[in-house]
Amino acid sequence: MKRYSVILYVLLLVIPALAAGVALYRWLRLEQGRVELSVGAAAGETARAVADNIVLTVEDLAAGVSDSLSAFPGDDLVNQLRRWEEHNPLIRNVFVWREKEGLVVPDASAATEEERMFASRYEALFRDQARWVAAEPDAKPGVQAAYESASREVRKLARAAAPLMSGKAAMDAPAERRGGWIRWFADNQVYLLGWAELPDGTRYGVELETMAIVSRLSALLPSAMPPGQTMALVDASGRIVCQRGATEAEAGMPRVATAYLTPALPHWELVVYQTGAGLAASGRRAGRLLAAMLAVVFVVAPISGGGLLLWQSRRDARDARRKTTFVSNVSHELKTPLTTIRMYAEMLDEGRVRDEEKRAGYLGTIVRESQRLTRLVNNVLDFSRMEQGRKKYAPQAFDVADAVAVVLREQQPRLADAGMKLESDLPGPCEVFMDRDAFEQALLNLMDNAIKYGASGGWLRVDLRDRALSVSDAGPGVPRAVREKVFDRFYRVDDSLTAKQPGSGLGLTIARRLMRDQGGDVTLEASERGARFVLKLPRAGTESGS
Amino acid sequence: MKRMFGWVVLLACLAVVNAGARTVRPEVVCRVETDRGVLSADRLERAVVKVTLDAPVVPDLRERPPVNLCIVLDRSGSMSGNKIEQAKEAAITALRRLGRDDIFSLVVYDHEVETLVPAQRAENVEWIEGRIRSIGARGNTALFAGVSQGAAEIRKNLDDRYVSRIILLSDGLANNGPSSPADLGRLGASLRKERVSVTTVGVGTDYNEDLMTQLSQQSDGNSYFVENSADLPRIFAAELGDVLSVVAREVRIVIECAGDVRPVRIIGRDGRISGRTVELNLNQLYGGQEKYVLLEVDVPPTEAGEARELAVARCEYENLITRKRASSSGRTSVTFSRVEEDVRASVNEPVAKDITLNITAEVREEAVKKMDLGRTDEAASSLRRQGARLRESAVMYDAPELGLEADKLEQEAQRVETKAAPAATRKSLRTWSFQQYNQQESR
Repeated sequence: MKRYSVILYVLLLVIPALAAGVALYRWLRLEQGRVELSVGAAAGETARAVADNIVLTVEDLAAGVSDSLSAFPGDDLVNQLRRWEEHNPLIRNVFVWREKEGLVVPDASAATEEERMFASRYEALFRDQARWVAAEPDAKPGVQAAYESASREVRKLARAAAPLMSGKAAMDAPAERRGGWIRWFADNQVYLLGWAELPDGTRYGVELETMAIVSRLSALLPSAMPPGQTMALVDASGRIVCQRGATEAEAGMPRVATAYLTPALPHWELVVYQTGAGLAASGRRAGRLLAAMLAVVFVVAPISGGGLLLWQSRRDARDARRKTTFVSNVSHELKTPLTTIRMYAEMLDEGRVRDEEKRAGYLGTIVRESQRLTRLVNNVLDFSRMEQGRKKYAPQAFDVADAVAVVLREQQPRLADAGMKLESDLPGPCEVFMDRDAFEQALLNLMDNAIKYGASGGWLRVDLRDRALSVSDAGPGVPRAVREKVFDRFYRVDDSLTAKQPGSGLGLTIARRLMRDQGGDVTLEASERGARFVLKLPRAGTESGS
Repeated sequence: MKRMFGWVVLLACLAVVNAGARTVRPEVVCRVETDRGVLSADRLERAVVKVTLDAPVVPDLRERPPVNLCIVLDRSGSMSGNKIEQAKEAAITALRRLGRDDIFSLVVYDHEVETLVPAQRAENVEWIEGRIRSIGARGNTALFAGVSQGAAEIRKNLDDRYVSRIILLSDGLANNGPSSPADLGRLGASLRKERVSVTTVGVGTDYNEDLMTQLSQQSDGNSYFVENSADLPRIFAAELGDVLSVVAREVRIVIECAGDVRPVRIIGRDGRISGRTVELNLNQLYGGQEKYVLLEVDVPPTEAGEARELAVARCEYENLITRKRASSSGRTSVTFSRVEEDVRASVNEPVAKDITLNITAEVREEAVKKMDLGRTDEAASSLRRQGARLRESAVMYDAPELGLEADKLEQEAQRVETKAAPAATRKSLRTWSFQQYNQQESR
């Protein structure tokens, strides 16, 4: 049941978190979509603005040329046109045409190479006057027309004679002449031909230098483009004429925005290409990263938190179980000697024991069991003090070999009762500076274990060598898997042997703690048969500091 | 009385001396000559009239007109390594030759264009050099846009005072923007009207020489073919030498043929022939150089012993030292004889030499056309034939330099035949022709 409730709680945490995560992720995607749209819109705006600028520039240029053409006096036309062509970089060729004579200038008999090419380029035009188109500014639809009419009107005003001008000056001011612009397509290019007409029907005009115009248009592109975008001017054949942007754009790349340059440059386009990652893409990346992080946080966090809690509670449960077992074990251990003491003491008290020898024996047992009780209680007390950090040590200098020999002599009867033969090798002296009682307690705990669990082996060996005291028996030994666990508090090896014997699970814990607190240690060494515990003594020099 | 006389004489002498000093003015001299002083009588003769413009050397470098120079540098990926380093060194070489009154700007281009050094006086040389050294190579080649931006920088200071020049350095094909020789030629023509000349420097063997020479030719600048980028600094120094010594500008030459003499064609230049008048324009004249025009004319049959004026040439120009428009003129005439010896003896050797060199340029141009059509054997043999003629002329006119040219032609014929390095061969043929037609001194 408990397990199910844990799972339920975890689910209760995870599901809402997941839901929140999903909602957040979807909102992010929406935002991204909006960012992409707005980036596209911004690019479109920029393209439109630049395109308008380009169109206006070209149209202004054309209007300026038209105005100049209209202002040419009728006499000395050819020389004026020639001079204009010689000095103006935007004029490529000039021409004069009369209906009866055809093309008068350039003169076929006295033409340069360039002039000959001009004549052949426009041959169809000069042959068939139906192709001429008069300027009809008001016929063009839309905003463009409004601008053009307005600017044309302003220009007319500017050129209009001052009200006080009269006489010759007024007569000389040129009337508005018929004229216009022809967009001529030849050799895959657009050519711009501006013309005007004299009252006598003579048509004259100029061909603009397309390359000079295009050369100046590249300055109209913005000085910097947003990351991942490149703006390019594309001509009527789809070739890129000039571009601005960190990465080079090529004709086939994806387009973010397109603006058209009609009527100034028909079939030309101003295109913004997607040439790199751009803001939208980096936003996408950030979005994905955030989404992944959210997923991790919202799913992993509750699960791991729950798992952590579960583990903690299981540990606590285990500790509680151990403590319960400990209490029952300690009670059991206390009870056994107490029962013996009471039994013999009552017998002695009732005076039922006559035999002197038996009486001495019963008294000895009472003393021994009391000592055992004392040791047990000491252990528990020590453990309690250690746990609370209140254990105090009173170190003194003594000879270990000597102290061990004394303890072994005292325990000799017990060993004999258990059927264990004692062997010892205690070369001395071995000076040490530590709490003598603590040392003896530790040793006694080891010996208790040996007697309780290792008696089947029949002997106990105590060696002192290299400042290490080893206590070995020939009993069943300690299973390899739990060699470290035996030092844990309340831990007892779970088998039939320990089930028969009462024990607190603290003996080794206390022994190790006593030794470690003073600079030594207790370890369980591997051995072929039985158990071999080693008491490592602290360094001799701790007191003297050498 | 004697004392007053003495004073008068002294003042008069001073006046004369002063006047003399003032009359030493730099002027372009116009000389007209014919290839032969005596023509054969009683038959239609084809003669060549040479009109030479001698520009004076700028007496004092401090007096020279200030220069407005823009260097347009290709930094496309193919320039990386030695080429871009040498180009940067060359640009710095050019910069160092400028004075404080001169204006310098630098534009770099790959697929897009960037003005690295906006038009400014050549004063803060260290900063400018630092910018030049920071150039690194990348990307493709937007040559048209690069030149356009260079022109924009020049226009910031487009003043009658300045001699304006763009030096374009490229090693690659223009693959971004307008890239046909005709288009670049038109850009050059329009720049010339703004009095800006473009000198093109092609590095390596991958660039398009037709494009580069068209741009230079139409704008009346120089053209160079540099096979090894280590030559770049030297070339730039020579080019700067030219720029700094421009003395005349907007040169207009009008040749009027006399009587029944008819102009046939102009050798090596573009001009207008209308009736008996021939008109040509040149953009800039360098001091100490002679630029000339060769005009083929048809002379109608004339009786022996008569003298006939062939042509009168008038040259109008803007003198950059006096800042005024000036003009000069010259004329030439010939006599006629039935004696062939007289005709042969009257050959004007320098003129004949120049004619030969120009014909050689034409032969080289023809060879390039034949190479393009795959007729390499014909190209090689035409080069060899001209080489043989050059050797004859070398002997006849006592001109050893013609012999050297003949050797060069032989080498070129071999390279054309064996098709060794066709790209380099084509470039050297075309660029040589260009330089000959323009009488370009620095090579």
